[in-house]
This record gives sequence, C-alpha cells and structure tokens, in this order.
Amino acid sequence: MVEHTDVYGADIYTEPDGDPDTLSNLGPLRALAGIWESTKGSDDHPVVEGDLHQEFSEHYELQPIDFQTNGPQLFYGLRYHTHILQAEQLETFHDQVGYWLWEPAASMVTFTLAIPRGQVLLAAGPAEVDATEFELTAAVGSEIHGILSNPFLDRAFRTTSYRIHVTVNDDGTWSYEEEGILNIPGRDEPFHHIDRNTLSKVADATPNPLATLTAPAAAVSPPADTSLGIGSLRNERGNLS
Amino acid sequence: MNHLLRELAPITDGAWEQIDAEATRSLKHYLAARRVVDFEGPLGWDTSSVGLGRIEPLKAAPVEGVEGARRTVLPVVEFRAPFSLSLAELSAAERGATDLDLANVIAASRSAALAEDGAIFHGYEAGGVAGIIPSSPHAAIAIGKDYSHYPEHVAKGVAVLRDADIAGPYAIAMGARCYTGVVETTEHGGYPVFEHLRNILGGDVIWAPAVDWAVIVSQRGGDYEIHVGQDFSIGYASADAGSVQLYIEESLAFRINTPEAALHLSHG
Repeated sequence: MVEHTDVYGADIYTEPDGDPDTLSNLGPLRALAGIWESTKGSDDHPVVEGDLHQEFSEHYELQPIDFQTNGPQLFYGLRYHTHILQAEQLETFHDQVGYWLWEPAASMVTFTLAIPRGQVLLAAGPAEVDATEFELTAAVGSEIHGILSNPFLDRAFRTTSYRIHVTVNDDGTWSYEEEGILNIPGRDEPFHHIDRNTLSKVADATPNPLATLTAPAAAVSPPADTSLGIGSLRNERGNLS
Repeated sequence: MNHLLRELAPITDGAWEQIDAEATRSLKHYLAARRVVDFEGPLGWDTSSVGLGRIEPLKAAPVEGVEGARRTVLPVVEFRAPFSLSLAELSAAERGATDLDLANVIAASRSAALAEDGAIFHGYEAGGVAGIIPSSPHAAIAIGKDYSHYPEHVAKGVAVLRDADIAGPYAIAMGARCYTGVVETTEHGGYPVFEHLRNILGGDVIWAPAVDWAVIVSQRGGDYEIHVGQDFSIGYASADAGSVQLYIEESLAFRINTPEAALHLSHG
C-alpha cells in the first residue's frame, strides 16, 4: 500500500498559485512528455492453456494539461493515451487512457488508468523531482489507490494488485514494466500479467493551453517565413566573378 | 497558412523542395542590385510603404488656425511572375526523381529578378520607383565595344564620383554583353581588363543582365536601400487536371538617399 502523506494542514480551501507552464513543472514526468513509439513491446497474459507471450507495437502520447488543484493540493500533469497493436494485426490489442500527475508538495506521482474493458485504477508512488526511476502501486480494496473491475472481470480475472516501474534512460527513451497480479478461478497460483516496453520519441509535446495563452509576446514564435530567403547578396561572391 | 496558399497546392513536400531550390538558385544567379545596395527586410507582406521622415504641407487648412501636412512615403510595389508546372512531372519527385523539368521555374525566376533589377537600376515609373541611373545627376560617360579602353572609362567615372565627395569602394554592375566583353579582353601586355577594373574600383565587377551597359555604384553604404516587404516567395494560384499554376512574388520599395553615388557608362 502506498504511503501518501497529507502535507496540506487544516486549510482545505485556499488554492496555491500554479505556474501556467506545465512542461517546466512536471518533475520526474518531464522526460515522458511527447509522442512515443515502439515495436518491441512484450506482453505475458493468461490464456486457457496457461500463459502466452506476445510482442506488440505501441503508440503512446503524453500531452501536458493546465495545472489542477484540489484546494491547496496542486498537480502538474500529462494526459495520456496509449494504443497497442499486435504484429500484423489491424484490430486494437489494448487501449488505455488516463493521467500522469506530479504533486510537488508531496513528491508523489499519481497515475490513473482506464481501459475499455471495464476497469479503472488509481496508483501512486514517491519520487524525487529529478528522479529517473520511480514505481507506483495500487491494490484492490484500497480506498485511495485502488482497482475497480466490472463484475465479470472481478469474478474471472480479478486484479488484486498493480505495479508500474518507470525508468528514464540516458539515450532519451523511457521504459516501463507493469505487473498486474490476477486471481483466476481454477488456478492454484496468482497469475503475473507483465507488460514491458521501451519507447522512443517521435514528436515533442504541445505546450498546455494556459502556457500558450500566457506566453510573452516575444516568446511566441513568429509566423514561419515561407519566402525563399534570398535577402541581401552584398556579402556573397559575385554571381559570375 | 498565409496568403501564398502553398498548403492548398497539389504538390508534395519533395516537389516543393525542388521547386524552391531551383527558384532560389536561379534568383541568386540573376539578381545583381542586391549585391550593390543596402537591404532592409523582409518587413512583411502587410508592409505598404516606407516612411521618408518628411512632410508635405497642405494648402487647405482643416479648420481655421490649424495647419495640415501629409507624411511622404515610398509606396511598396508588388512584382508577381506566374508560371505553371506539369502535375505528372511533379509526381515524379515522389518516385525519387531529382531532375524534374523546372524550366518554367527558371524562366519565372529570371523574369522576377530582372523586374527587381530593372526597377532599381533604371526605375519603374508606373510603380513610382526611381532608379539609380535616371536619378544620377552625373553625365553618363560614353563607352563602346572596345573593351580594352574600359579601365580608362571606369577610372574617369571613379574620379567623377570622388570629386562629388562620394567615397569608395565602388562596384560596377555590367550588362551581359559588356561583362562578357570585359572578361574576354586583355590589355596590351596581357593583363586582364576584368582584374584591372577591380583594382580601380576597389570592389566587384558584377554581372547584371538588367543593366544597359554599366553603372558604377559607391559601396560605402547608406546611399541606396531596398526595403523588401515580402522577399521572393512562391505561391499557389490554381490547378487543373494536368498542371498547377504558381507564381513568384515579392514586394519592395527602393529608397535613394544620395543620387550622386552612382554614374552611368553608356553607349556613346
């Protein structure tokens, strides 16, 4: 179970001043902002014969959102959507949305997960502002960092705990290993559903809306010059001489 | 998207790159005035005039006891050279062709460059552009086709400018025939006329196909200024089943601060 210290005291209403520029305040999540891809994901999941290992390709987009508050609690975050396909398959293998949130006052990372098979969870874990590795957990039955499944999943493939470990790599990629421990009727031991991937950036993040609106005029990029850029030729060698 | 509407053209990025590269190369080849006058800009497509810092008093008063005056400005003129390209030819760029038939790009670039140079060297009355040569108060020096005598003519021209308190270095912009003649000619003793002219001028001898004969221009700076609103750009006009219509466009004003800073050499 995650220990999440409440650092906010008695005043539960007064909101702090957040920084409009989310990308500058994401702490350990800064390295995750952007659009990422990989074709070498690894998945071990249960099938009737036992367990099955499969590889997958993944497109993972994480875009900054405006800062969010709950009274004194302040979050800077990334809204994410990851889409996973199996090799040579057109249909979606896995789809997942949610938020990665950095809470500077508590030095905590919080993660929400929702999948279109009727399951949600809220995980969290401690991290330093400049951490390159951190781990978040959730457990069924927790009233704060818990897991909720639809009735069938809860009966047939009950996820009792969840863990995701993130590593920011020196080469600019980032990796995750996530593990869901499932209780499955008819099996003596819990099943460890493990996914791993290392993602490479294909595009930078788009600044959050408030950052764009409040950027100083001088910092806003001028319209792209679509001219041929001929300019002065005074310092160029003569056209024939 | 701006007024050039490039994004609407049925042209791939690869083909645009080849079109832009060919136009840039061709424009730089033909443009000469930008090698001898000061350059300001690009100031933007929405620039319509260049202020001269002066006023023109108005005869009629707006009300009794109030004087009226109008700021004097140089209007910005636009030059546009249309051309068309075959869509079939452009589609070859995506198949890896690097030798697209861009003859129309070259022709339009040449026309656009000659339009700019013609206006700057000889003026463009319809557009209110005063040129370097018609603005010069100095009498033209007569030259002919005996290129071996050009050093004497140019030395005489430089002396006129110096006497008029116009300091060097100087450059000379030469029409195509003059330039070729100078390059081909040596003086008695075999010294190239081209090199001799450079020594006299202290500056370049420039191929300027828009110039009639030749013009010596001081290179000290501050005498002539091109103010470019939109620098040469390629825009999209329309397309049909077989071709796309594009254009090369620029906007500019030309300001002359010292009309005495140039001297024409012309056929006597």
